[in-house]
Amino acid sequence: MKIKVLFFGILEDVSGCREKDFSNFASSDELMKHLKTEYPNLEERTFQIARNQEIININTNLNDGDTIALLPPFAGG
Amino acid sequence: MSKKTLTEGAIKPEKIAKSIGNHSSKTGIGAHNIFLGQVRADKHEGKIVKGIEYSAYDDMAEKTFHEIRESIFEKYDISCMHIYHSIGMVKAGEISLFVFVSSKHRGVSYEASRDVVEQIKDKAPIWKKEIFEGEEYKWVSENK
Repeated sequence: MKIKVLFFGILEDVSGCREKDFSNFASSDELMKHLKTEYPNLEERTFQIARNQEIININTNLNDGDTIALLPPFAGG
Repeated sequence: MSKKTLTEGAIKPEKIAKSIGNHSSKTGIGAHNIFLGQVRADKHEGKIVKGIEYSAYDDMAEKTFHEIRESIFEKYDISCMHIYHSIGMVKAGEISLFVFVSSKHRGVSYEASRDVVEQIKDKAPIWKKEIFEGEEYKWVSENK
Protein backbone atom coordinates (compact mmCIF):
# COMPACT_ATOMS: atom_id res chain seq x y z
CA MET A 1 0.00 0.00 0.00
CA LYS A 2 1.37 3.38 -0.98
CA ILE A 3 0.11 6.79 0.15
CA LYS A 4 1.63 9.90 -1.35
CA VAL A 5 1.77 12.91 0.97
CA LEU A 6 2.17 16.41 -0.45
CA PHE A 7 3.38 19.35 1.62
CA PHE A 8 2.47 22.84 0.44
CA GLY A 9 3.41 26.39 1.39
CA ILE A 10 5.20 26.73 4.69
CA LEU A 11 4.69 23.00 5.39
CA GLU A 12 7.27 22.32 2.70
CA ASP A 13 9.79 23.98 5.04
CA VAL A 14 8.44 22.10 8.06
CA SER A 15 8.88 18.69 6.42
CA GLY A 16 11.90 19.60 4.32
CA CYS A 17 10.31 18.12 1.21
CA ARG A 18 7.51 18.69 -1.27
CA GLU A 19 6.30 15.10 -1.27
CA LYS A 20 6.98 11.77 0.38
CA ASP A 21 5.54 8.27 0.13
CA PHE A 22 4.24 6.37 3.13
CA SER A 23 2.74 2.92 3.56
CA ASN A 24 0.62 0.98 6.00
CA PHE A 25 -1.65 3.70 7.28
CA ALA A 26 -5.27 2.66 7.14
CA SER A 27 -6.77 6.03 8.02
CA SER A 28 -6.03 9.74 7.80
CA ASP A 29 -5.87 9.98 11.60
CA GLU A 30 -3.20 7.25 11.78
CA LEU A 31 -1.20 8.93 9.05
CA MET A 32 -1.46 12.35 10.72
CA LYS A 33 -0.39 10.91 14.05
CA HIS A 34 2.70 9.51 12.37
CA LEU A 35 3.44 12.73 10.47
CA LYS A 36 3.27 14.77 13.67
CA THR A 37 5.80 12.40 15.23
CA GLU A 38 8.10 12.57 12.24
CA TYR A 39 7.70 16.35 11.88
CA PRO A 40 6.94 17.69 15.40
CA ASN A 41 6.66 21.28 14.12
CA LEU A 42 3.48 20.31 12.26
CA GLU A 43 1.78 20.43 15.64
CA GLU A 44 1.93 24.22 15.79
CA ARG A 45 0.74 24.77 12.21
CA THR A 46 -2.75 25.36 10.90
CA PHE A 47 -3.68 23.36 7.83
CA GLN A 48 -6.45 21.47 6.07
CA ILE A 49 -6.13 17.96 4.70
CA ALA A 50 -7.18 16.92 1.21
CA ARG A 51 -7.59 13.32 0.09
CA ASN A 52 -7.36 13.03 -3.69
CA GLN A 53 -7.99 16.78 -4.00
CA GLU A 54 -11.08 16.83 -1.77
CA ILE A 55 -10.88 18.48 1.65
CA ILE A 56 -11.63 16.01 4.45
CA ASN A 57 -12.78 17.12 7.90
CA ILE A 58 -13.18 13.76 9.59
CA ASN A 59 -11.10 10.63 9.93
CA THR A 60 -11.13 8.91 6.55
CA ASN A 61 -10.07 5.46 5.41
CA LEU A 62 -7.10 5.45 3.07
CA ASN A 63 -6.65 3.29 0.00
CA ASP A 64 -3.60 2.24 -1.95
CA GLY A 65 -2.61 5.04 -4.33
CA ASP A 66 -4.31 7.84 -2.40
CA THR A 67 -2.76 11.28 -2.36
CA ILE A 68 -2.98 13.23 0.86
CA ALA A 69 -2.16 16.92 0.70
CA LEU A 70 -1.49 19.18 3.68
CA LEU A 71 -2.77 22.64 2.84
CA PRO A 72 -1.88 25.66 4.97
CA PRO A 73 -4.19 28.71 4.74
CA PHE A 74 -4.54 29.75 1.11
CA ALA A 75 -2.89 32.96 -0.04
CA GLY A 76 -3.70 33.35 -3.71
CA GLY A 77 -4.36 36.55 -5.59
CA MET B 1 -12.27 21.07 -18.46
CA SER B 2 -11.61 24.57 -19.74
CA LYS B 3 -8.17 25.95 -20.53
CA LYS B 4 -5.60 26.36 -17.81
CA THR B 5 -5.86 29.27 -15.40
CA LEU B 6 -2.41 28.99 -13.85
CA THR B 7 0.17 30.71 -15.97
CA GLU B 8 3.94 30.79 -15.48
CA GLY B 9 5.36 34.16 -14.36
CA ALA B 10 3.81 37.62 -14.53
CA ILE B 11 0.74 38.37 -16.63
CA LYS B 12 1.88 40.80 -19.29
CA PRO B 13 -0.11 43.99 -20.04
CA GLU B 14 -0.06 42.92 -23.71
CA LYS B 15 -2.00 39.78 -22.84
CA ILE B 16 -4.65 41.90 -21.12
CA ALA B 17 -4.90 44.26 -24.10
CA LYS B 18 -5.18 41.31 -26.49
CA SER B 19 -7.86 39.75 -24.33
CA ILE B 20 -9.94 42.94 -24.51
CA GLY B 21 -9.47 43.03 -28.27
CA ASN B 22 -10.65 39.42 -28.58
CA HIS B 23 -14.10 40.49 -27.39
CA SER B 24 -14.77 43.02 -30.14
CA SER B 25 -16.71 40.44 -32.14
CA LYS B 26 -19.04 39.75 -29.18
CA THR B 27 -21.30 42.72 -29.75
CA GLY B 28 -23.95 41.62 -27.26
CA ILE B 29 -21.54 42.66 -24.50
CA GLY B 30 -21.98 46.16 -23.09
CA ALA B 31 -19.68 46.03 -20.06
CA HIS B 32 -16.29 44.56 -19.23
CA ASN B 33 -15.06 44.47 -15.67
CA ILE B 34 -11.38 43.77 -15.12
CA PHE B 35 -9.66 43.09 -11.83
CA LEU B 36 -5.87 43.05 -11.75
CA GLY B 37 -3.81 41.97 -8.77
CA GLN B 38 -0.37 43.58 -8.62
CA VAL B 39 2.58 42.55 -6.44
CA ARG B 40 3.40 45.14 -3.77
CA ALA B 41 6.90 46.02 -2.61
CA ASP B 42 5.92 45.75 1.07
CA LYS B 43 8.48 46.46 3.75
CA HIS B 44 9.06 44.05 6.65
CA GLU B 45 11.55 44.91 9.37
CA GLY B 46 13.47 47.17 7.02
CA LYS B 47 13.56 44.65 4.18
CA ILE B 48 11.74 45.33 0.93
CA VAL B 49 9.84 42.65 -0.98
CA LYS B 50 11.32 42.37 -4.46
CA GLY B 51 8.81 39.81 -5.68
CA ILE B 52 6.43 37.00 -4.81
CA GLU B 53 6.90 33.36 -5.66
CA TYR B 54 3.55 31.65 -6.11
CA SER B 55 3.07 27.92 -5.74
CA ALA B 56 -0.09 25.85 -6.06
CA TYR B 57 -1.57 22.41 -5.80
CA ASP B 58 -1.95 22.64 -9.57
CA ASP B 59 -4.59 20.00 -10.29
CA MET B 60 -6.74 20.93 -7.32
CA ALA B 61 -6.39 24.64 -8.14
CA GLU B 62 -7.53 24.12 -11.75
CA LYS B 63 -10.48 22.12 -10.45
CA THR B 64 -11.29 24.91 -7.98
CA PHE B 65 -11.13 27.55 -10.73
CA HIS B 66 -13.49 25.43 -12.79
CA GLU B 67 -15.94 25.23 -9.88
CA ILE B 68 -15.71 28.99 -9.29
CA ARG B 69 -16.43 29.58 -12.96
CA GLU B 70 -19.47 27.29 -12.86
CA SER B 71 -20.83 28.96 -9.73
CA ILE B 72 -20.43 32.45 -11.22
CA PHE B 73 -22.23 31.51 -14.44
CA GLU B 74 -25.00 29.98 -12.40
CA LYS B 75 -25.37 33.01 -10.14
CA TYR B 76 -24.95 35.96 -12.55
CA ASP B 77 -26.22 36.79 -16.00
CA ILE B 78 -22.81 37.28 -17.59
CA SER B 79 -21.63 36.71 -21.15
CA CYS B 80 -18.14 35.42 -20.47
CA MET B 81 -15.34 35.33 -17.96
CA HIS B 82 -11.64 34.59 -17.91
CA ILE B 83 -9.29 34.00 -15.00
CA TYR B 84 -5.50 33.92 -15.14
CA HIS B 85 -3.37 33.45 -12.04
CA SER B 86 0.42 33.51 -11.96
CA ILE B 87 2.55 30.70 -10.69
CA GLY B 88 6.28 31.04 -10.02
CA MET B 89 8.10 34.34 -9.63
CA VAL B 90 6.37 37.69 -10.13
CA LYS B 91 8.32 40.87 -9.45
CA ALA B 92 6.95 43.84 -7.49
CA GLY B 93 4.89 46.01 -9.81
CA GLU B 94 3.94 43.11 -12.07
CA ILE B 95 0.48 41.58 -12.45
CA SER B 96 -0.27 38.20 -10.85
CA LEU B 97 -4.05 37.95 -11.18
CA PHE B 98 -6.28 38.87 -14.10
CA VAL B 99 -10.04 38.45 -13.79
CA PHE B 100 -12.14 39.51 -16.76
CA VAL B 101 -15.94 39.44 -16.59
CA SER B 102 -18.21 40.63 -19.40
CA SER B 103 -21.94 41.17 -19.40
CA LYS B 104 -24.70 43.01 -21.19
CA HIS B 105 -25.00 45.76 -18.55
CA ARG B 106 -22.48 47.05 -16.02
CA GLY B 107 -24.10 46.21 -12.66
CA VAL B 108 -23.72 42.48 -12.79
CA SER B 109 -20.15 42.67 -14.08
CA TYR B 110 -19.03 44.50 -10.90
CA GLU B 111 -20.75 42.00 -8.63
CA ALA B 112 -19.52 38.93 -10.47
CA SER B 113 -15.94 40.22 -10.69
CA ARG B 114 -15.79 40.85 -6.93
CA ASP B 115 -17.28 37.44 -6.24
CA VAL B 116 -14.70 35.70 -8.44
CA VAL B 117 -11.78 37.41 -6.69
CA GLU B 118 -13.14 36.68 -3.20
CA GLN B 119 -13.74 33.03 -4.10
CA ILE B 120 -10.20 32.70 -5.45
CA LYS B 121 -8.78 34.11 -2.21
CA ASP B 122 -11.00 31.81 -0.17
CA LYS B 123 -10.86 28.53 -2.08
CA ALA B 124 -7.89 28.25 -4.44
CA PRO B 125 -4.98 26.17 -3.07
CA ILE B 126 -2.31 28.73 -3.85
CA TRP B 127 0.46 30.02 -1.59
CA LYS B 128 2.89 32.88 -1.78
CA LYS B 129 6.35 33.51 -0.55
CA GLU B 130 7.65 37.08 -0.34
CA ILE B 131 11.19 37.19 -1.66
CA PHE B 132 13.61 39.76 -0.30
CA GLU B 133 17.04 40.78 -1.57
CA GLY B 134 19.48 37.91 -1.14
CA GLU B 135 18.18 34.47 -0.22
CA GLU B 136 15.67 35.56 2.39
CA TYR B 137 11.95 34.88 2.10
CA LYS B 138 8.78 34.82 4.15
CA TRP B 139 5.67 32.70 3.57
CA VAL B 140 2.52 34.83 3.51
CA SER B 141 0.16 33.27 5.99
CA GLU B 142 -2.90 35.48 5.88
CA ASN B 143 -5.11 36.14 2.94
CA LYS B 144 -6.49 39.64 3.36
